[in-house]
Amino acid sequence: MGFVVTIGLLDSLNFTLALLLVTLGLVVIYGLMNVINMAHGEFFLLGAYCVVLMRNAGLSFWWALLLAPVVLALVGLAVEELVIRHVYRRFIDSILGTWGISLALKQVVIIVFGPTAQSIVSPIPGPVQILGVTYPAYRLFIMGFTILLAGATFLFFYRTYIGLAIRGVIANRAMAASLGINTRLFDRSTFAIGAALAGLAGAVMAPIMSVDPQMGVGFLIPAFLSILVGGTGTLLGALVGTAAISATTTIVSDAWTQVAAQVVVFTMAIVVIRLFPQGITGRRT
Amino acid sequence: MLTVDGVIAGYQHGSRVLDGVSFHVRRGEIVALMGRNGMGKSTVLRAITGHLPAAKGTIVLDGEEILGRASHEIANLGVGYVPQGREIFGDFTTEENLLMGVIGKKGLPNKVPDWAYEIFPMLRERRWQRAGTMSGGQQQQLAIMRALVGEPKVLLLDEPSEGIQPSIVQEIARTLRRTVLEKKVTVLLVEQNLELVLGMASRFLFMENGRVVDEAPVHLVKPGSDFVQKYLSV
Repeated sequence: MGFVVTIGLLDSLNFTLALLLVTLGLVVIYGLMNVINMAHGEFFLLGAYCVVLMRNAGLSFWWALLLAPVVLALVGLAVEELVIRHVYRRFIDSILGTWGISLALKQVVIIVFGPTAQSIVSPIPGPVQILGVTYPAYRLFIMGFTILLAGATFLFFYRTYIGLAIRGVIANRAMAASLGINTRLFDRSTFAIGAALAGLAGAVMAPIMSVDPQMGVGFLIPAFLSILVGGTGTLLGALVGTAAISATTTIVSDAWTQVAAQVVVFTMAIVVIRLFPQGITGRRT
Repeated sequence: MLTVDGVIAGYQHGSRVLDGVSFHVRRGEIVALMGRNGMGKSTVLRAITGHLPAAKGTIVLDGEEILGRASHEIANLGVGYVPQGREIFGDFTTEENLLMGVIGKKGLPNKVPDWAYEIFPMLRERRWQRAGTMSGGQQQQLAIMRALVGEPKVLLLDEPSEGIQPSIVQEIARTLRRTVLEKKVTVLLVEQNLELVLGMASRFLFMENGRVVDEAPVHLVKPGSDFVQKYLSV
């Protein structure tokens, strides 16, 4: 009995942290910058294909964890310059524009790598003993990595001068500019950071997922829901949101079915957003 | 020091808000830009700070043309701005608001100087308080200090008395006057409250229909004087 409970807890925690990992980049781009980025799943996808690229080049998996954020930061810079900067604060336009980017990136991946799924060998194969159960070692790595990355992201945005400037630009760009802050520079780099986080998430998740051109879609909706439920503008909100969404999903799909889990999650999201329009952690202003 | 010459600005299909406004502010002066509502006073400040990209004419600060430059460059050339409504960062603490005043400035350390908290001790008491929860007068002191810690050559103040208790207004004005004289900051002030301006400014500029039409030293401007009748009374 204790065995089943431990596995269940580890699975829930694993799913929560995986979702948090994927949501981090979106917290920056959607939660902080208020850009609805439909191409976020494709940033994640490109990150995963960086792993494929490394594998094909015969290099170690770990290089992909360096390559993916760099590549995606560059992709983020390009996308920001070409599309996003024209659609700040224009919600419908940003949805259409980024959806277009999403389609284009997906097609590029299909052209370059083909439509079929690629399998990635786990870089830390085998299970380990933990809390009296055996659990896949790489999943434990993902959990630890996510905690570190979320912590680093939090420290960056809330405990550094650059993070302060970024939040200042988002809060009041005209005033930030009049205090000497180059707002365009921060728009660009903030978006690039969000994209890099998505790419890193894709690379980290690649070994436990089927790497195919559709893999980005599955996480996009729960990631958006997490931010909506938890509250925009804070990392704490994302943490609460991902925990709520993933715990609900795991529990309901274990006890019932996957489809029921979707129904329950969406119902919960609707109820929460109705009751707390600013999210659970959001301040009502 | 600051020369505004023939600046024209307006809205695309409307009238010209600024219709060739020209004036000069000398180093170390405290100049008040006065006039009735809608004469373009705040718009002048927005043109100087680079928030009206379509403005034409010339604005020269210390021999350098600033019209047409980006707001953050203008700020780095030495223009400090306290906008109407204060525009403090409500979610930030006092300390973070003041940090915002220095982190964008080249050549300044990323640290709030001690004198900031000495000039307005209230700010030290509320150093870790969220600025959005402070009163209007406290937020105004914060907005002024946020501009001053950036060590501007010229400080632009837009309606600093708006929404603040009269007793506090006079106190802030006295402290501000002492500070800018000490730090040799030139001030251009837009204000409706004549008493505040009389206690601070050395010279008055009067605006009408988008131009500076007259000027007077402070001793000629008294409540009920011709200047006040002509340019300020409704």
